[in-house]
Amino acid sequence: MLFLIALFPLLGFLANGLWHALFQARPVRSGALIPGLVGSAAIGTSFFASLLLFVRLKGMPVSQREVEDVLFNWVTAGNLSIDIAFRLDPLSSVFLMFITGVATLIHLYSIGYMENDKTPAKFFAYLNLFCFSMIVLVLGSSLPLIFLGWEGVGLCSYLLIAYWYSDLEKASAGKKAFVVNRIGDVGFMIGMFIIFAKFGTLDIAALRALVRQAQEAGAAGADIGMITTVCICLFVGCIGKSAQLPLFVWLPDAMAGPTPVSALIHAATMVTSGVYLVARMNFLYELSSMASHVVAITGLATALFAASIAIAQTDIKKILAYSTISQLGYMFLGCGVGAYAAGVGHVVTHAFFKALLFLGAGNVIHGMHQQQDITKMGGLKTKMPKTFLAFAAGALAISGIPPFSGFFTKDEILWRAYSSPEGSVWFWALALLTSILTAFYMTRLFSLVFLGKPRFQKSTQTPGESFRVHEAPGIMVIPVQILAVLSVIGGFIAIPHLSWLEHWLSPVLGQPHQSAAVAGGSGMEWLLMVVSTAAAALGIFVGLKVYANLPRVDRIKERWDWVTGVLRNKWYVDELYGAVFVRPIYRLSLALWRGFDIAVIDRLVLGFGKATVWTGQTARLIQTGSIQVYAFVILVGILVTAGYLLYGVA
Amino acid sequence: MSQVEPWVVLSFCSIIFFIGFTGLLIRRNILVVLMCIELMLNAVNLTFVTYAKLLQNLGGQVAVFFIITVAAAETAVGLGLVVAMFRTLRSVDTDQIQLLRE
Repeated sequence: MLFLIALFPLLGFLANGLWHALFQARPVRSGALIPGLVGSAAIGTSFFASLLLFVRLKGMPVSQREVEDVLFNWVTAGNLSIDIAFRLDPLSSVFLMFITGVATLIHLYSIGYMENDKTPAKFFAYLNLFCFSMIVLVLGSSLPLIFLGWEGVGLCSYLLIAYWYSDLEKASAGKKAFVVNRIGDVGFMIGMFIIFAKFGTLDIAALRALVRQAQEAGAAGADIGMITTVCICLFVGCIGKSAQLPLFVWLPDAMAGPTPVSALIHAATMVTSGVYLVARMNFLYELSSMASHVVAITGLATALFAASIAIAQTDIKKILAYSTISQLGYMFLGCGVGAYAAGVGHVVTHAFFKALLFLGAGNVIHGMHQQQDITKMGGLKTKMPKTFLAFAAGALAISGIPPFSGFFTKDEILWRAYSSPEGSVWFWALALLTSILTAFYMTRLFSLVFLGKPRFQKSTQTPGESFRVHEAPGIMVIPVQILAVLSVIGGFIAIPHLSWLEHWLSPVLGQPHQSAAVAGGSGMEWLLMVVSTAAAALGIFVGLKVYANLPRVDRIKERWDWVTGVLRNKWYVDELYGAVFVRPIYRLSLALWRGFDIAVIDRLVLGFGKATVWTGQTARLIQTGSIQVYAFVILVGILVTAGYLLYGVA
Repeated sequence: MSQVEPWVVLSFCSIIFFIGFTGLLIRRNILVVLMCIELMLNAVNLTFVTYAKLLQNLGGQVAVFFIITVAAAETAVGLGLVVAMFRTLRSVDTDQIQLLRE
């Protein structure tokens, strides 16, 4: 039964892919409708199956909540044996449900968004292939299978970012994502190799049992250095996939893809696979406080760093991209301080509200005729009332205003960062600063897009072209509204202390760490909650106040030009990487190309060709075409042979 | 009647054979070349007969009949080819017929 969840998107991929391969030359009259429905049905069925499995899992006794499905043996070499096997436990069940659920909504949305696309079947084939890979990643029972899904989503990410590949900038954004992800994957692979060398298995359940056994025998302490190395290597993979410092540079560029792709892959699902991996391997991270610290500090630094960049961007999707990076940082902070359930909870609510924000942005871009610059929008409140309302819910959710979903999960992370034995008040303070920044940049985005007066009459459209801002069609509005509802109520699965999610995940993730000093201090928890809500409200208030008066914003910008310049240019990280890595490699490649490829290899290969031609031309002189010459040669040959036979043999 | 010594006959045969072969190599007219081939065949025939007599073996005589038959057929085909060649190329000069070179 379990493999069916992965099978449906695969079938959808095959159906749409074959359709595209066979009939792509013909113009499609029905637009994206038929391939879109096929793709949506495939992933929708998976969603339904995930729900059924969830119910089944819920019916089992708590300690035995696990469904395993071994399909066949994949690799056997020496003492390495890898099965294609899926395993569903509470953690993967949560991921599975929100992935397939959000993906279904985004597939439906894409029918509207990709309406005028020339190759909709290809688009939906890629989307389905992505969902298949993601499901394999989440359900895989061993690290190599997770890695298979991991690479699969990377591939689909590349294909979808560079979907409009005739635009050079978009094509190279796809390449950048692929290359940067590869750097992280090396870490993942090294981590796997070390695990296999030390434990002799890559199956996660077996690994967990081994680690627990060693822990009970008191032997784990000796190997803590090795476990730290493994954890950090795996985390390098997560850094690449989940766009953390210092490998986050691909995610903002990935916004070159179609907006539904950004919503599905670069906000809701793929980028969270790093968090999934850390949560999945929590039994290792728990042993190594150093690795956990690396995770927490990387997450926190990324959260703050990306939030600061988001303040100064003007492209609506870029802002959301940096916001995604920042929120992913929160999730890693949660995992790093041992509160895996809080991290996973934020993954879920973030999937809802970030998909909502991206799809809302898609509606805005669609309504504004591909305009993405928020400084050229404004006043869309009346033009797009439904999108406005839904977007407002998303913005409040991400800012952390109760009772919207983001509040509960983010506040839980903040509280754990403060109260966990691995946490500290500094973690809490910096995370709080990030949440102020988050509230501020979301308010900035919101008020520049929806509030104030329209700023696009003069600037956006070329003269003579009719330009009318319009609300998106129903098929694009309804998924957004469903996500808006989820963003509002989604947080109730993770209310602190009553958290259903934490309870549900506890067989896999264990209980979060609680240091003795603050364990009883629920008064402190309330206080921090009030502080963080006030912080979010402050961010929103300042944002509204500042962006109500645009000329003053310009004056502030002028006065603080060097600050906004640095932020606008993303702290010059791209330039730094360009100077330190990209250009030296480019020059080295150029030198090798000229010095070795052309000078040695090409000369060698061309030399063979020239030698052959020369031999042929020389040998050609023998071919006179005169039969008599041939006959003479035959005579000479016969005489020589006869002479040899008669006199030479002896 | 005194017998001719075999070496005389064989020397005669090889002289005729090499006259034929020299003609084959140096003459430019295809008709003459064909005649030279005939000359060589007949030299071979004479050699066969000589050895048949010398070794008291009838196989040599039989081979001669075969060669005569094949030579007749060859001449017929060869002359036909020469005629066809002359019609298409307007020449029977071997120096000008070097199609194999291409």
